[in-house]
Amino acid sequence: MSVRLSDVQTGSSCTVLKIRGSLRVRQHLAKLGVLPGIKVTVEKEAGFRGGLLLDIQGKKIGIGRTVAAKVLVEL
Amino acid sequence: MIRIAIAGQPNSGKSTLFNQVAGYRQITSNFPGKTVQYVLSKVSVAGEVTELVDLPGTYSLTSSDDAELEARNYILRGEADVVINVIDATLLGRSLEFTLQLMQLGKPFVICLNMMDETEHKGLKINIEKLSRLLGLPVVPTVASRGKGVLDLFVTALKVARNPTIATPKPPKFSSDVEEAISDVMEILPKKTKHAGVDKKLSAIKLLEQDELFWDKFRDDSGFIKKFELVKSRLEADRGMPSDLVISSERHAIAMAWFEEAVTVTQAKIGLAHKADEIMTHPYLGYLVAAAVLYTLFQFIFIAGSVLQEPLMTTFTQYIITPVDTLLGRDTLPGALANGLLQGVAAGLAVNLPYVVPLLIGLAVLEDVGYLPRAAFMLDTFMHRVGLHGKAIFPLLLGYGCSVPAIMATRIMESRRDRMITSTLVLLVPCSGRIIVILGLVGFYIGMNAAFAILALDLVVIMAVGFVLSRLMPQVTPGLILEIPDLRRPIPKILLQKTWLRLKEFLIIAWPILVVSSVILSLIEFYGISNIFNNMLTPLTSNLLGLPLLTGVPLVLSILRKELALIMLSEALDTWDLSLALTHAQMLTFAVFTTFFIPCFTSIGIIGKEIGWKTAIQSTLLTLLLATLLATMTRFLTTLIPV
Repeated sequence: MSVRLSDVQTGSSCTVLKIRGSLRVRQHLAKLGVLPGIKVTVEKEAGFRGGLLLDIQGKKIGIGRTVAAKVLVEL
Repeated sequence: MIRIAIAGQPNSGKSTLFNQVAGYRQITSNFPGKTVQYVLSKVSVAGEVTELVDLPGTYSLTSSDDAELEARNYILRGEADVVINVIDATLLGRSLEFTLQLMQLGKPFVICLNMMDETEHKGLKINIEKLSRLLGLPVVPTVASRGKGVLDLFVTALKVARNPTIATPKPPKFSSDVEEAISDVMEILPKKTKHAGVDKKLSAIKLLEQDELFWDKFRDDSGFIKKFELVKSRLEADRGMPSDLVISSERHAIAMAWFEEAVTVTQAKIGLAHKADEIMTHPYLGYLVAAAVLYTLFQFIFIAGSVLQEPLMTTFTQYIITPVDTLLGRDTLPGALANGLLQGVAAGLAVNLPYVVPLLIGLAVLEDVGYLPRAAFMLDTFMHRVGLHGKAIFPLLLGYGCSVPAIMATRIMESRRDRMITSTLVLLVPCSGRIIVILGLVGFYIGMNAAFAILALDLVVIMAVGFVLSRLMPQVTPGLILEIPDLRRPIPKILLQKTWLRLKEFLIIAWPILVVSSVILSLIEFYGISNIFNNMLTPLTSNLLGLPLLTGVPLVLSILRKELALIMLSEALDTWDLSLALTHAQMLTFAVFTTFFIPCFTSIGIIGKEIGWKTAIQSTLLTLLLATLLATMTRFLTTLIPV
């Protein structure tokens, strides 16, 4: 069952299924390690409906909410 | 002379390594015709003089942004005899993906396994020999921040430079279906595919990665494109994802395989840094922390600044300006020139420096500790609504002090587009010079409410302009995607170096402009040509804004020395009690115009240098337009609402 990364609960892990969006978005995310098949943990959410702080194999990445909505994951 | 290039991902300690070795003797240059920069230094290593080049830190070597492109092309052109690939040992898996791309370029390089000290904290044990064997490259462990292993690294690099074959690896093969697709593409590539020393295999891989630069070369070859699309769609159908992701995934898989073979993962230790991090990025406390940090930064800057400003100004005036004035006399041309010159020098020394130096130090500390990305992350929601990047908050807030260091602070943003928009907005933030006018003219004669009204209007305008500009210049990325590096202890030596190098730039650009502005002001006074200016400005002052003619010079020429605006006004109107010469309405109009028109010549000069002259001119015109429009509106509003 695929869910948007922006809807994943803080503290949970999930696996990336697909990345919607333009080539630019995909490339940018890929550069930082967000690729299909990767395990991602949502560490934190910034307050006021802010972005997500992700842990991708030890690397911490902050992404905005709109970007997170483009990443489809499996819990 | 042997040339060594340093390449690697951001936050890998690349620049720390470079700075440790290069020290203060570094020159920053632009790649020809681009805004991307690299840093160069001649360094004596193991008894040999070499040239060291620090390439921009990039996450990968595709063409998605200028920095990556230039770094890649630099290496492809073979301009360096050897490349040092700096890797964060605690992020080996991710870093090796970059290394794989580097391998594909086919040039000799050496791996610098940096931040080895942190691997202990994270419970990572790396088998260096094994890693070296897997990669087919020399791997040198280092702790660049402490200088450990650095000599070893360079000795190895020199060895490779003299004997490239020992470290020119064969990149590993991808999965068989991908390799098949690659060789299919290689077959259909037009005969003479050799661009900038790039071989067929690299071209094939880059095309599948949908690399823009490589695509450009074949754009017009419809025959090739048709055949290529067949290969590409077959691969994509097999794998169920776009071809660029296929290649990225393949690289990822290889890097992870290497990681698993060479690294043993044990329990990590949780330290102070971890706890600090928790608070900094806490969904609610984090904002308190951000506010506290900003408050502290400001206090530091303003206290240091004000403590130094008085004594410096007084000393300089007493020992240099006054004696020269007495010697040459203010009524002679040499006297006027000298006075203008010295006033400019004094202003740079006593008014700007005391604020700029603490600012640069503070910024360097925040940067090196790693706080900036965290703050940007926390503040992004708010900035995003105005179409800005989270990091923009720093330059904007600094603009309340002085636009010049604020514009320099836009360097913390990587995107040129963000820097352009933020710098333009910085020009609209009321710097201390303008605040003096708002408080001293409107606040003093009309009341604090009126003064606050102007500041509030200013805020609204900044947000509106930010909104419009960000719509006009659509973002390359649709939102924040930012790496948050570990919190690190800053190294004093590197902090001082950074501060000095940035200060040097400020001194070379800003100070001379200030001196020239000051001299111009002096000459205008000396030759008594204020009248000419005032007459020229009649359409603006008298007709549009309803201001007395005499306000022309203070209104417009205060861009030469904004902090002198009120003094210039008093001098022009020949009274210290401005209520005798101006109505409340006129005061408001004057203040509104001053708030939005460019703060000073120096700030435009800095924009020209840091961002580009086109932006400098455009933002000047924008502020002129806004100032004129809003001031005129103010004038007409005051006829409807009595002040």
